[in-house]
Amino acid sequence: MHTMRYRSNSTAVRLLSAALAGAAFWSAVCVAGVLDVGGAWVDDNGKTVSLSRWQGRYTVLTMSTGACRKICTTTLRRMEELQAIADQRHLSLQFLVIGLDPKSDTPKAWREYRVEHKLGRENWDFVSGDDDRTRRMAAILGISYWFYDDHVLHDFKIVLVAPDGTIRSALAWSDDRPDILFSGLSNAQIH
Amino acid sequence: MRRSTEFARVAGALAGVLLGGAAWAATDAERIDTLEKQVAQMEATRPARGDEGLPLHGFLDVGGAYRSNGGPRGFGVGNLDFYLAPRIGDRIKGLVELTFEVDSATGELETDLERAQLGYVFGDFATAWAGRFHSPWGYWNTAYHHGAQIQTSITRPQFLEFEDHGGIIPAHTVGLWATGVVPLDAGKVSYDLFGGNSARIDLNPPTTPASGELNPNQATATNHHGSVGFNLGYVFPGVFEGLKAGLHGYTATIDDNAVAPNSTRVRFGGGYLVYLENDWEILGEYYEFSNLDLSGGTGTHRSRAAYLQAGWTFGRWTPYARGEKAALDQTDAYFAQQAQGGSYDRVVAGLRYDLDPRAALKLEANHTRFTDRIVSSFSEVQVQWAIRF
Repeated sequence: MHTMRYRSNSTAVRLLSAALAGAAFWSAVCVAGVLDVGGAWVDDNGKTVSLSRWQGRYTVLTMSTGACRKICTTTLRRMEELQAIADQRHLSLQFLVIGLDPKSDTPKAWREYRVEHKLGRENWDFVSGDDDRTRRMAAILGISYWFYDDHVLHDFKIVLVAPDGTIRSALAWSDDRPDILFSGLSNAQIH
Repeated sequence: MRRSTEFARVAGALAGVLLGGAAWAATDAERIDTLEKQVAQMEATRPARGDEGLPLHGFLDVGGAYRSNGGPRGFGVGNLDFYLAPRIGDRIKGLVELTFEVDSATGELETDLERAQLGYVFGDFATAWAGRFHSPWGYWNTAYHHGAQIQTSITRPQFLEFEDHGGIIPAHTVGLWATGVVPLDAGKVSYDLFGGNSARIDLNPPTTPASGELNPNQATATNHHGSVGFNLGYVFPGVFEGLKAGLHGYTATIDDNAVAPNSTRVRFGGGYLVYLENDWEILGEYYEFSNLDLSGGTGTHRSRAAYLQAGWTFGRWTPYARGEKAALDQTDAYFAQQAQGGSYDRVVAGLRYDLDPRAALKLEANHTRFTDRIVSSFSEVQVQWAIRF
């Protein structure tokens, strides 16, 4: 009897410890929302910003690098298509591009990129963080990337972040119609 | 007895959970405090940046080819390329590219340590490498390595092929390499200075002229001579963003293993122009050789080689085309002794489809005309499925 009581109590303790450990783990690697990756990010004006600045609004978010010529070109083109769709539907959205390569995605590089690609709209922002923050953000978004000499090899993904910072929908490479990112989203929901 | 035992067990478990739950509710603040401490502990004990393990990445390609005039036909495995880039702290890094490829002539599996280099990063302006690396002349040889998925086309320009695929210039150097980028008020300057073992030409067998293949001499400089080269590039800013122009040069004393060995001071210089922007990929390189015969007394021999490739990406599709020309003096022992050292013209056209950011399908056709040695030509169609992982 003594042995059985010990076993059942230790089971409860193990369950509780596991729950606490799990909570600790998830609190370390998962944040309440995408925009909770804390610390200092730098925008293309060289200003330090917090990603919480984009909370409270629907944000189209992706990761890219100015030096990339293949996937990133497609990514930015898709972002522009999404902006056009948003304009047609009168959806007031923010667009945020996070740099994948902190070394080359400097504020100056992003500024030049914006001018070169005519991405000067005020609702568009380009930010970069340090290596750790970049890795964490990529892990949260599920974007795999690595460096092959001068090439930044990465996945394609664009997400729609809800005002509470959670990912509402995502666009993958195989999605031919970018408007599915806004599926079910109405003007009333945004304003 | 059994029922009471069972009841005791369930009651005990339930009591444990309830007691735990009650304890949970009663000490929420304590629990949160403990959690925060654990998270802080985990953050503090997270491995340092240099000790996060070593991700293994790489490339694989498979394909097929059909060549006219009785040439190779059929399916084949291309290259399995493992890429590792260990970092030791913020300044020291390594790069290893280990490939397994099937010899197109024999079907045998070959292993090549294509790149094995250790580097010290002084800053963006300078990184010093030692080991076996891709000779940084021109553009293609350091832009596209052994991963087929990275390269738009299936084939490299023939004269820029790797040594074991008939390339006529040492694509690999074993030695030292300094490289960096210096930003200017307008644009950026890139530079490469490198030196190492001179390559050699292995005739197989030594009694058969024109059977040679370049060997980068990765164990030692067998002829006790070295090679030296440079590459100076300029990356344009502003409206010309995406445009890079450069000059390159190389010299080495390269011997072959013929019964009466030939020794040549190989010297080439040239330039390149690259445009990568607005969905365009335009690459062009030029090489002018002025090789000095050191053993046969035949003086200096001039040769030249060049290519121009253009591709345009729309959606997942990239059609491309390339023209190549090599006019190689066959009285120059350096070219004459190499199996692929003959002059040729080639036109290439192809289509690449990106199935996924990590996977590409390619279809390519080429027509090649040999203009000396034996005047002949062939046509070839190739397909390739290339991935990265």
